[in-house]
Amino acid sequence: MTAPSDTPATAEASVRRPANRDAAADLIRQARVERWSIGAPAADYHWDLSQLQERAAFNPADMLLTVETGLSLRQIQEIARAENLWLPLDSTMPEVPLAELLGRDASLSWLSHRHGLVRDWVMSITALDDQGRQVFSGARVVKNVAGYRLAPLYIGARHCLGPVLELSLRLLPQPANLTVIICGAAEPAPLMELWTRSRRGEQLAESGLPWEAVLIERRGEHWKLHGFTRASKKRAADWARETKTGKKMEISSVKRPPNEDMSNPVAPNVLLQVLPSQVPDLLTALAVAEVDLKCYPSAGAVVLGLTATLAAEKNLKEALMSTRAWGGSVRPLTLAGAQILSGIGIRERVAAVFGRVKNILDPDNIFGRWPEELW
Amino acid sequence: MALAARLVRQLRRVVGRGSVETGPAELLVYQSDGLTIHSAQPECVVYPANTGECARIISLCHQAEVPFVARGAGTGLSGGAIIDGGVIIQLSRMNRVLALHPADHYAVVQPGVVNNYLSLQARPHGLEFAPDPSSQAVCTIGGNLAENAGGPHTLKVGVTANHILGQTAVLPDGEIVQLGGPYPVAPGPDFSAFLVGSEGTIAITTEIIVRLMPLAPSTSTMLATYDSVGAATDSVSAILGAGVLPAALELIDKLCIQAVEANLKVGFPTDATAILLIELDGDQDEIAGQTETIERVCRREGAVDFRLAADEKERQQLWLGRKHAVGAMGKISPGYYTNDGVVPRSRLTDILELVYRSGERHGLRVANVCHAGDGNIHPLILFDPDAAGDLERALDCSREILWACLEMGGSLTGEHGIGIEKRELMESMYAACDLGHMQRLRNGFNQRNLLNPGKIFPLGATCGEVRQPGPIPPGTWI
Repeated sequence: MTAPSDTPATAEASVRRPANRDAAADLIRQARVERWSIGAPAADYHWDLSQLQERAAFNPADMLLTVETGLSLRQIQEIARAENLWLPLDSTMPEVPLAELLGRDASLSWLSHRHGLVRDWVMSITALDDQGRQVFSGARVVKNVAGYRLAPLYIGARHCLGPVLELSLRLLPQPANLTVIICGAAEPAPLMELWTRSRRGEQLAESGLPWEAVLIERRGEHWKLHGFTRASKKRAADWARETKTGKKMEISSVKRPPNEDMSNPVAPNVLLQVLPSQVPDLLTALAVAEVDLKCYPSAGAVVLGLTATLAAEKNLKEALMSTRAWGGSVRPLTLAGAQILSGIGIRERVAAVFGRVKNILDPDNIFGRWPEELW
Repeated sequence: MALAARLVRQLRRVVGRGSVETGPAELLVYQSDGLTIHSAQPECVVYPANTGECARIISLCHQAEVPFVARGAGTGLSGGAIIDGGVIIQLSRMNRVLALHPADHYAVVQPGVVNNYLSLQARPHGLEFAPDPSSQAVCTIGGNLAENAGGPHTLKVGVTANHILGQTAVLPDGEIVQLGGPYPVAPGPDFSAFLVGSEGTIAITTEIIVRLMPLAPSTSTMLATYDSVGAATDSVSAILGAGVLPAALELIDKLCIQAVEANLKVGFPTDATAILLIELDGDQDEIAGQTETIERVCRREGAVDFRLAADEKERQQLWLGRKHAVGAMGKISPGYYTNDGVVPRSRLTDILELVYRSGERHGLRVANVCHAGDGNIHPLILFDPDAAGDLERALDCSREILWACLEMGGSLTGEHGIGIEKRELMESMYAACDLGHMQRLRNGFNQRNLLNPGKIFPLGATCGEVRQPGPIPPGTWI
């Protein structure tokens, strides 16, 4: 399955689908000769690396998996699960080739607070440079500081530094036990109180559950909290009884962590980032607008499925402005999101240093223009 | 070449007369870092107090085309913070915790803050800075960032890179850049993360936003005793294979145990061939079950004894022994040389066998302490600096071990960095094209090659920028 469109121009005719690494390298050489660009959202052509499906190396005892980036996150999780291992990442794009997930850094999820983003699990990458040569950085072990770590530059770079063909991922043992506490409400306040209690429990030895993650989502008028804990179902039930929120909580055990980002109520195109302590105020501000959202409160992140109509609403615009007034950021995750934000006069300052990286590694713009509007 | 008097005057105007040293006696201590077989003679040491002063110093060096390097506590083990004929920007005055935000689990620190000091400040709030290199009582956060430092407790929570949220850095031309921020999670390309582990060759970090982790509600520390190293390493794989991820999983061998006990008497079993120091942290119920699993696995794999630290005091004693294992070598040898190669976990038994064989072949004793859960070895190759040829044999032995790490699919370094020490081995680990790609970035940001020259990447045969190992001064502890 190919990635959902990030630009209006991602028509089939503009997609290049190399059968293997050599074919990908040939495309770059061809682009150089024929003076077209390939990779970035604004490039002439776009990569579909779904045919790069090789599992290069996997010894479960090493808890490290090396794969080509045509495989999807879901496939990775299946490979890991078969060995009782787990990549503690999730995505709203579990089915797309990893190359696409990496390009967008689409790894913000309910797991991010505790386990970070995809760059925290990548131990090595193999990419193609602007001459079509394979370049490798990192090592295929779980710890390495030899040479520069290029993965943090390539991940989220929208392919404009070159395509990533292969990567090594560190894995963890599957959690032995996972219990999910779900609580619904008509407003965010009681859910925020629950989250605050769970957060205190992270810090105090004598109380609380071992929280893996908390996710709050809003769809229409309904708010819902998903709390994941490694405690037993019985202990979670005891905790729920003692919290006395007056809300009914639904508690269930799961044998393994869910491998996709919950129920996907929103197609996220805008990310709000604040400090975790500012999340209650942010959700209160957003509650008056009718926008679907997903909030990872411990990570201080809220993703919105923003439409131009919604963005024009005074309440929502005020909430977005408040986010910035608190020192937070309002960032587009897609070009569509960038257009909507631009329409209401919101644009974050571009980090010029990334432009310098782009100029150094791709001075001829073989991979297309750096999408400044996304940062 | 003597540093221009004009530059020295300019530097004094920036930081004050008392914060610039040029005298030979004052510069002596800056000739080496923790790896004293490499030395270089700086011409000037300057002590800035803040980002602005750093930027002005760097601009002056840039304009004068004088090489410069940042230095923290000087505990590095790869010769990464030494320079011949240039300026050392010593960050020890930049040692303030600028802000601590317990509610949002982060702090803003200057690079000269000592690792352990930060955790001491955070602990009353139920938080800590997780990376814990053995030198944490003296090493600084800036140095941890430059080297992407690890430590025993990074098996579960990751290395320094996983705990840096953002930073203020000064590029080699004096430009100040703000990278990242206090947000716990920030998707997108991350130049701050790229700087972590770049060994101070791209920029000098002047303020750091660090993630603080909640203290574990409970810990359980175990000591498993073995009469063979192989049984201990087999246990490492078996523990992880049983689905348990300890907070730390350390291996210490007989010679090292004997040195520690001769020095500190922490209660390690002196008749053991190897021990595993295992620590679980987390929820009490969860670790109770995991402790049982670990004991069962260790005994199945051949542990002849297994005990739990009875209380916090005993736990602290065991960790004291582990953290001072390297220093304890002084009890059994007048000198040692170490490296920090990494192998895939499944090859730990193979690499340790090779380490012992290599030591024997070179006629040298080798003690071992390993971050076993990470496959990260620290062979302590013992030698006599006064004995002719001993150092050369120790270096040969170390190189042989590192080559073996690479042959087994591993890495030259898991913690110490490349620096000067291992730069010539980089061509064994990476293809020319890989190194060239990294060097494009280095040269792009560090166009005049003034910031920390001669580190990480192999030099041409004619480059004599930093002196090669020479005679060791009497009394030097390597």
